[in-house]
Amino acid sequence: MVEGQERFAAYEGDPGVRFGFYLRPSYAMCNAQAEMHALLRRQFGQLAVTAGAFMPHATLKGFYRSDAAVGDMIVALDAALIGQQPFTVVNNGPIAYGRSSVVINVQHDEFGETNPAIQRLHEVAFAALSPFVHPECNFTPVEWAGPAFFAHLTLLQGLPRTEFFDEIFAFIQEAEPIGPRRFQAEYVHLYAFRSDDWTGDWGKSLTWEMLHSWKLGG
Amino acid sequence: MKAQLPAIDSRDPRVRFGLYLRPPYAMSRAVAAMHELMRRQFGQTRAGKYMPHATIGFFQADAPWPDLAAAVAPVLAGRAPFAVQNHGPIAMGRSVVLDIHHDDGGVNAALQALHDDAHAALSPLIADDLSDRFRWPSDRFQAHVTLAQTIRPDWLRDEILAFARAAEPIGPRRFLAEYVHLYAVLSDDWDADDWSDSLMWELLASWRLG
Repeated sequence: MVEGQERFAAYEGDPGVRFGFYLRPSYAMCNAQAEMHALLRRQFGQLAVTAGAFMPHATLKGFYRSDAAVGDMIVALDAALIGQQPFTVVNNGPIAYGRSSVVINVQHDEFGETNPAIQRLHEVAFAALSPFVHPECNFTPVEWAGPAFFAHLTLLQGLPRTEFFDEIFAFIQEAEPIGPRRFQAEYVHLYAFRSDDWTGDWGKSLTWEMLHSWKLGG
Repeated sequence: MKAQLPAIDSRDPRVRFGLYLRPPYAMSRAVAAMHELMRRQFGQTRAGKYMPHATIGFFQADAPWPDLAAAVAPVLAGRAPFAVQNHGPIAMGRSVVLDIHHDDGGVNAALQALHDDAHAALSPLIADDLSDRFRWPSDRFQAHVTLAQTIRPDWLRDEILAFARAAEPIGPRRFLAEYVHLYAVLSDDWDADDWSDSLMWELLASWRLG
């Protein structure tokens, strides 16, 4: 039996729960990202709170609804992560995602090529978790997966008034370098999330709990 | 999809408006860090209820906020960004602030002119019977970035000033004034001693100089 079964029971079979599988950045990257989340909230207020509602992370498998037992997801990930070794992530600095989000590009290496290790980690995790996704999941069908996957660390998410985007993006760029240029990808986490409104402004009431952690190569 | 503009009722007695200079990242970060430390060390929370800023004007108005934005827009259009000097912490009444009012030659003329022109443009929209105490006539304007606001108890001010001076330099010595923001700032009771306990704010409009 997987440790934590009592905590898992609170999430299982609940249509108001979404799960996510994330790469946890190193301390230095985490600290820099969290500081930016906090400063954006202090300087721009409610316009810039959604990214900071999350822990610092790079998504490997985005939000998904599931009726499966959490223990079964963990067992599947245990198997999928066998042989996945720690690897170097390159921090390519902030880029715009449309006109409502700003993220740090960690998909590429220094030469603009896809980091094969992070792409592979996404693909094995996505494949392992796909069987558990509820057919009515509202996130997975529109997820950037497989060839469309783009690993990132979010600094600003879902800006509700896009007329402020250029200014906030410039503000973030002034902070460069945000975190180390390289860091080691070493830990991955499975999370459960709750929100009052998964089809609307879900960030406003987002709460989360870490369910399980894996050390790559461990 | 265009987001709805904030529904701020100017006649709501909780509502005030702030026209603020938004500091650049390095200054914002330093001021936010000092706000946090003031809360942690001295329990002083007022300054940190606001975003890092330098006040150009703070007022109560009858006019809807889009009218305020329309009045101030021509003042900002065509105005070039300008340098601001940060002279470090000083006491200002019961507050401890960064003095940015001066440059090497005296009063920072660009900052004073921004205040005076904005004040002139907004004055017709500021109701006399509502807001005299929020008016900042030209000769009373003193540009600053607040680190600790209306310190309670007031005998703590000198210690907090010394503490802030020990943190020097707080942010860059010079920075570019480039963005001006209009905010709605709300308190449940502006006349109460604890007016800042219920303080909330929302960014309404932003202008980039130049």
